[in-house]
Amino acid sequence: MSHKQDQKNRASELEAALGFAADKAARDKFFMSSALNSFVQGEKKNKAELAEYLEIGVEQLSRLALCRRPYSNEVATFRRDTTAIANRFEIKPATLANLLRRAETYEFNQNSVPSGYLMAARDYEDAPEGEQEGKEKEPPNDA
Amino acid sequence: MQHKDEAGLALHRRLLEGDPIAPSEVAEQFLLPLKDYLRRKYPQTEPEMWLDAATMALLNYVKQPDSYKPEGKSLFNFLKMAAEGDLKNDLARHKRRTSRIVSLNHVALANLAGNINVEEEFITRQDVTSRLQGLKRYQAKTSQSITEDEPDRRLLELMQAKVRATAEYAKVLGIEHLPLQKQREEVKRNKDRLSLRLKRWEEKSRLQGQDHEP
Repeated sequence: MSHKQDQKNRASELEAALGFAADKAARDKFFMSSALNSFVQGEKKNKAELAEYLEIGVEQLSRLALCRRPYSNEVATFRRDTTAIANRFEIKPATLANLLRRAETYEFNQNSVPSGYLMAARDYEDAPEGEQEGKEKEPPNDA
Repeated sequence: MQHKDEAGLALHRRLLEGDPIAPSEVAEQFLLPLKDYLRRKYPQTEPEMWLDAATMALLNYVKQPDSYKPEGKSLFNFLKMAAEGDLKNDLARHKRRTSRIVSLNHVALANLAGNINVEEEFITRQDVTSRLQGLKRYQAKTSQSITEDEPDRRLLELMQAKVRATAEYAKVLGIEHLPLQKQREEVKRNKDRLSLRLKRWEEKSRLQGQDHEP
């Protein structure tokens, strides 16, 4: 087997392993994976649609899922974490904040809300225009 | 992995500082090497257990990075130990579970109290079903039954026909007048008794070299 083929196999093995880990992490609110999972379930989206929503490649989702989920009652900390993740994956920060807020809403509706996310996410969205990139419109049906 | 210590240490510091990207990078860097390590060290283990243990070790570490003390060993060595511990725990759990199922297959047929989980019960039922099929083939070949007792013979026929309705068994046992719960208990007791007899018959025929298996 050629060296190139070896590398290719290794890369796909890594993708599969990260995907496996991301799935495991979905049960733990420490990880972004939990938010992505709540979001896709609530919005009835598949992975491809999630990637499209975030404007990233599907292969990036596992890595994104394994990031720590932004958590804090403090807007500044939430904003810092969200922006750091958004910058790393070239996602619009407001899109990511919106995803986190919606995920939290779905989790809240299922009585499993970790306190603080929703408030911080909402405050982030309410921040002055100049402080955000690519601010999105409010979704019509959210709490 | 000596050459990765520096990178590992940098990642560790970022985790301690609460960098939200660091967990993902730790996974990217260490997940496959950990899996490879377990694969080499435990080649007989089921393949999915390597990745499972490696993943658990990583996820636990990134959540509790202060569990690692950099003065002692490299991050990779620490993760190797953690993953190995997780794998050993998995293996022990697996072994306990397997031995419990095996012992239940022996005990449950004699006195099935109904306090076993669905999977175990399914396995037990599968054994009974397979023995009933063996009996059917044996009877077809020899025109003999394992019992001369008429009600037992009819109960076995119902079991072979996979009849589940309590009422049918109650009819054969002549206990239709009893409350339903009592009927169920009595039916179950008799089915368990016959299952045990089936098991003994199977063992006996195996010892005698009789062919009732396909």
